[in-house]
Amino acid sequence: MALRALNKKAERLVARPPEDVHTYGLVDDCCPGFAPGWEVGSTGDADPCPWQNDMPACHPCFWSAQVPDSTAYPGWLQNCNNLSQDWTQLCTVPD
Amino acid sequence: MHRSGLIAASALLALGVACKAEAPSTAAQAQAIAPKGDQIWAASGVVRVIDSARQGVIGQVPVGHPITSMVFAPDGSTAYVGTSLGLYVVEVGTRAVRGPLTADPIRRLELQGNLLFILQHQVILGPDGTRDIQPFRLVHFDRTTEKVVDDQEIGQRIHYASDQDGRHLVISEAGQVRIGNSPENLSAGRALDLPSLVPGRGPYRVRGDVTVREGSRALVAIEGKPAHLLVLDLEAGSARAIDLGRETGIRGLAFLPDGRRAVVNAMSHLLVVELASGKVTGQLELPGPHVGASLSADGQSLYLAQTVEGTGGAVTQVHLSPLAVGIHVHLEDISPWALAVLPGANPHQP
Repeated sequence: MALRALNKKAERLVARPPEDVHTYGLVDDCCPGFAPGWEVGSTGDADPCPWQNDMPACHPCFWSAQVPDSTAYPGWLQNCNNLSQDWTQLCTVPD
Repeated sequence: MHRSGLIAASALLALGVACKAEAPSTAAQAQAIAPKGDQIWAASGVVRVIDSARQGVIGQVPVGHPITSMVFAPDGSTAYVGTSLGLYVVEVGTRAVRGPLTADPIRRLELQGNLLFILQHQVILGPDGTRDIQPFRLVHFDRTTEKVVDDQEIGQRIHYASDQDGRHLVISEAGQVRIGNSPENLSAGRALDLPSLVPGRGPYRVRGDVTVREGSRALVAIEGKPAHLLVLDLEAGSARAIDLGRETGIRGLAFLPDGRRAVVNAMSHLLVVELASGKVTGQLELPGPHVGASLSADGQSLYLAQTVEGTGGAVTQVHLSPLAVGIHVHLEDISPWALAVLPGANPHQP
């Protein structure tokens, strides 16, 4: 069921153009993941590149596919010389 | 989408995207250009040595740890390989590996003369499994003596740091770009006011890992709506941003030998940008998304890594004049994410 504005403030909020995220250059920490994932298409289009292809390029920041943080885990690609064939050995970041 | 679906989509994308150039470029033109005799090192945790003239792999270097960065000595005798375990030195002629010569995981290597700038940091694993993330440091490694001659702490979560000619450029993971001069510390320096340089309210992301520097000049990738190329003059302390006119990821940058232009690896496209005018003067569609940008020994072509192609990866050559896709070497057993081209003549050229 769609939400419906019931008062003036809610109507103003609905009428306002959605604010886009503007965080990468402004937060003093590792960049966050965006929803639904700017890295994988800010306009809802097809992935700009296969996620495996982007994984080494996206480190060390988390993104929507939760690439391991290579700052904390410098050896996260240790068992993954071939992303297509070895990807199951990724994402096993210890607790 | 489920991962297996993504893998299938990746394979389809890699196989299905045709080479289509918007600048004058046809398959016939690409065929007509004789392959250059470059030796390309493409790496994940191992290095595959590619001969562009033979259009195939001619050897390997078993380093054994994820490789983050590779640079060659100017005479092509030695390769310096940065890994998650430290620095390895490879004699190019014999491919003999020595190392690690340093003990900390390396994020980036940069060479100027005899100095190798090593951006590194350590993570100390406690007995209870907690991780103590140490600050990043820029190490000056004299490659003639193979000794560390300077070691300066910068701070946490640094994506790029360089100290060529005493001109500092430091980029944090948060996207802060700082420039400064010796003898001030690398952690000091002036932070650029990026919101004033990069107009628009849309999101942008400074990709410190996609930075290229030659002396006092540097280029930094800024992904956004639209994407920008940050052009830095570190001697003058000035910065300006070139609007690339499109929303795109950026995965590689290189200055062209004429010094006036740069190439931008916009993943599935390659852009040629005239730096003075800020105009995109050339564009080429690539056969799939790529990372990196390494100039050939003669500066006439560029090599890009396709980290995933089918069940492996690939390296693609792009001729720069005219813009055209050149050879494409499939690598069945690795996903290349680091590239380097041997300078000078290829010793294995037939």
